[in-house]
Amino acid sequence: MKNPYLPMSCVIKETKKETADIKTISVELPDLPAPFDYAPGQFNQISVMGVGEMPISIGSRLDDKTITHTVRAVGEATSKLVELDAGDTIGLRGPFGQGWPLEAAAGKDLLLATGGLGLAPLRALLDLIEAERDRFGRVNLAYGARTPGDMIFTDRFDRWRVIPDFELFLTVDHVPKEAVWEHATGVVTHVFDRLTVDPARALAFTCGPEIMMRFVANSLLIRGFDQNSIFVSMERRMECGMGKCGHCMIGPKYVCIDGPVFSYAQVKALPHNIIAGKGLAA
Amino acid sequence: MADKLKTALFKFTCCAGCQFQLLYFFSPESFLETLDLLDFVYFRMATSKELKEDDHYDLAFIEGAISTTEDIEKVKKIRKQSDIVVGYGACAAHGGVQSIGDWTPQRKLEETVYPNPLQMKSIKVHPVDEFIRVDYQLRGCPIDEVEFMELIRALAAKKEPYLREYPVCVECKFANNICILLMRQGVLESMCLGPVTRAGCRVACTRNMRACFGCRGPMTNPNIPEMVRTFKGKGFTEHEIFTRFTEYAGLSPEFSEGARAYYERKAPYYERPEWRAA
Amino acid sequence: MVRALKLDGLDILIESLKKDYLVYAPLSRNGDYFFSILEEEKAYLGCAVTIMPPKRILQPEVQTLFNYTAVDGYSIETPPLDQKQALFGIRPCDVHAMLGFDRVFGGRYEDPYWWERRKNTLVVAANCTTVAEECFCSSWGTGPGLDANYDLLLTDLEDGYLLEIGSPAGEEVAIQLDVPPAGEADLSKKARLLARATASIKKVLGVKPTELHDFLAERFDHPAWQPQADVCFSCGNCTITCPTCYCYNIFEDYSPALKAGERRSEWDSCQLLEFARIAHGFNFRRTRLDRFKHRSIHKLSWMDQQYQTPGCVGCGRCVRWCPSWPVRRGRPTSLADPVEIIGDLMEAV
Repeated sequence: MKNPYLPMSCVIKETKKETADIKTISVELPDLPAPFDYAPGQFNQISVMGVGEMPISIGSRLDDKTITHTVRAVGEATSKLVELDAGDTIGLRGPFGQGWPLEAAAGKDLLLATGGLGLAPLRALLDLIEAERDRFGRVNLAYGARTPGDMIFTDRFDRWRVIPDFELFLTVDHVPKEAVWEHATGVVTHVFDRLTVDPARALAFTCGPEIMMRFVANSLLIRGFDQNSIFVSMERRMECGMGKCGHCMIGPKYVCIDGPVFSYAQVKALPHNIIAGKGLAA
Repeated sequence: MADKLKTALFKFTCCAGCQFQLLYFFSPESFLETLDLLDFVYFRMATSKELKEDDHYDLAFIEGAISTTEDIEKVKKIRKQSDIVVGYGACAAHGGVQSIGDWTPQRKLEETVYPNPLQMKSIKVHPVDEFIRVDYQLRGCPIDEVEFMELIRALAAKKEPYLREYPVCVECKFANNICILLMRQGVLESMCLGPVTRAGCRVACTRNMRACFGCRGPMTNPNIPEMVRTFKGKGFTEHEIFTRFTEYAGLSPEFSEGARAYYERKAPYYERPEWRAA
Repeated sequence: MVRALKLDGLDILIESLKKDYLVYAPLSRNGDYFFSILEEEKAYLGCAVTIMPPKRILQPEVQTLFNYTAVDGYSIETPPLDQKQALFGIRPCDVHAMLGFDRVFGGRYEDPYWWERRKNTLVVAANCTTVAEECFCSSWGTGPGLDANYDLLLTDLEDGYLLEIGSPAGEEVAIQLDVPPAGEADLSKKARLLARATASIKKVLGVKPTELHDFLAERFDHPAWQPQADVCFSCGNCTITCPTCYCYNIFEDYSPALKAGERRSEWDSCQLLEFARIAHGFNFRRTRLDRFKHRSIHKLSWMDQQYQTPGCVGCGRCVRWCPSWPVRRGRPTSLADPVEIIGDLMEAV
């Protein structure tokens, strides 16, 4: 029997500092019987041996054997992970969960609304849009961060801007005195007035802090998006990734196997979340 | 292998039982292996090494509660000299047995014991983190060897220790114990604080049919009013309930709430919830 | 093939089991009833349920997932789980709970630790001819008698034991016993005793299991939740002693001296504050109310939605071991008691 608890031993190929506490780690997978296949929006369980395991969304595929993960040092395990360098070994299990609904998105307009590190779970999707542009209609990416220095994947912005029918809206909460910033300021919903996607034929994918997703969803509902066309990527404590350990349960749903991507309509039926606001006692 | 941690163990007001416990643990090899991660430069009970003035420590254990003004200066100095400070035992964590005295005016205590109270300089007993930041807390009277090993191994590996935050009930059930709170009646030994006390002791008391007396202090988010109601329902007097809550960790905000519930005198620290250690 | 035998005593069966299996049986010691390895002591079938459910034998409270050494990358070793064991005297409710675990640990990701132990386990179940006052298995159809999913099944007939055979592995044990087959009278006596046991169960769920999903969904914001949560200790007793509670924590024990460690799983409980806390420190079920509701509704409805197996088998352990006993409907009741929780929710707003 295959043991899904055992991590594969992987070597870090290179690391790249995105912001003060966010790092992108390229991981070289071992030889596998079949190529490591994943859908945009899925996650892996990354182990730092001796410390612990953490769920991290899967970013780009660099080549057949190399994938990236973008991590912020938040807890103990993530802090250890960002300290690692090329040549260090980590453990990896995955992929787990349901990614973004690509079949439903085929031929439709896409609005990607994210904040901070929330862009990371959309990275694989952005790569896909770039590679297979015909699969989707018009695409808008609205990306917000606290300050310009907190933005990740900044080296990619120019590449994304030249994708046909692709608009990139950037906004920051505040601009430090010394920084130069020629884009919008304010929370990410502030740029929604300039969207060029058609709410009637668009899907919205959002990822970020739960409170941000709440405002994004509310704002989109007002603009005529359907509850079933808004998708959120949720974060909970995920330990096993396989719908067994129970930690990531929200009502009857497991974030690790039923999610992390849920439609707003699904989330609305769930208790204990901020996005749709039901049942989180004060 | 990593360098050993330069360690000192300081004793304040307590019975020194917790440091004795370090010598007494007759454990598997893993315990000696763990002790080997430490280089004790000061440990009065085990070594003859003298304290060096203005030394620096990777790790300082502080055993005992603070009960004189000189102690305050001493712990502050230790904090300055040390990278990591560990509160060691119930007295350091919550004041321990001597904190019972905090519920009585200091003058009365001194009059009871000493012929000339005006010469006394002691103050009320305080936990160590009343005065300095404590990085980790080894709770219990005495400390538990498994928890000690976990802490030391984690510190040596530069990671967070996995110190259990759940109540004694969880460990008690793991150990197949019968529930003393529910099954025993009419004796003080059924006055078990297990549902509100933090685990990690490997049920030293309840395994032997003795009630948990809360030496490890409150768990996270204990339901103290319900504990008091339960004791009341079992027929215990207000004084008995007060005594149980104040025996070892009465200075913790949670347990002092239980003590106050049926007692006139205001708990000394109750008004200060920000004191609540993580 | 012989389907049932009549035993005068249990010793002959236990001796036979011991030859091939490590036998776990309920023991009685200082008033505790618990499953343990049967050595010199006598198996005790007198109590309805043990304090801790037998799930701990198949899914120990702390178990090693793997050992590793971190030298030149790392190498992993998993513990052997090939011990052949027999669960002697496991009650029908606990057998049903075990079937629930089969679903939790099955599915798309099979848990090898559960299944290795499970495959090596002989289920020697025991029907309940007497019941405890906490029992309400008849509401769920999980007892007091067992119809299937056993290797061997015992029924105390007062003048001996009926031993029914449910699998080839069970038959192998039974063949060695050399005792006469049971007669028609024994089987009808069993049916009579079980009918008597069923009739003696006083506790009944106020809502049919099939109607619980809707019942609870409609009452998610019922005012009766709050007063119940207020008297909850959040101590985890109800979940730790629950035979269908499966949640666990994964943690690491690392020895810097040896550069080696062990990844382990440890039972966790949704009633504990830390359960739903994430790395930032945010807790999605911070309040006692949220946690109490989560446990109650998960047991009674959500687990069935997730795994098509009920999250409650009516064993009564939570009823018995919950330390909080509020007065409801004029009498002291166990806070964790599902029957009483439903009773509270049935009261009109």
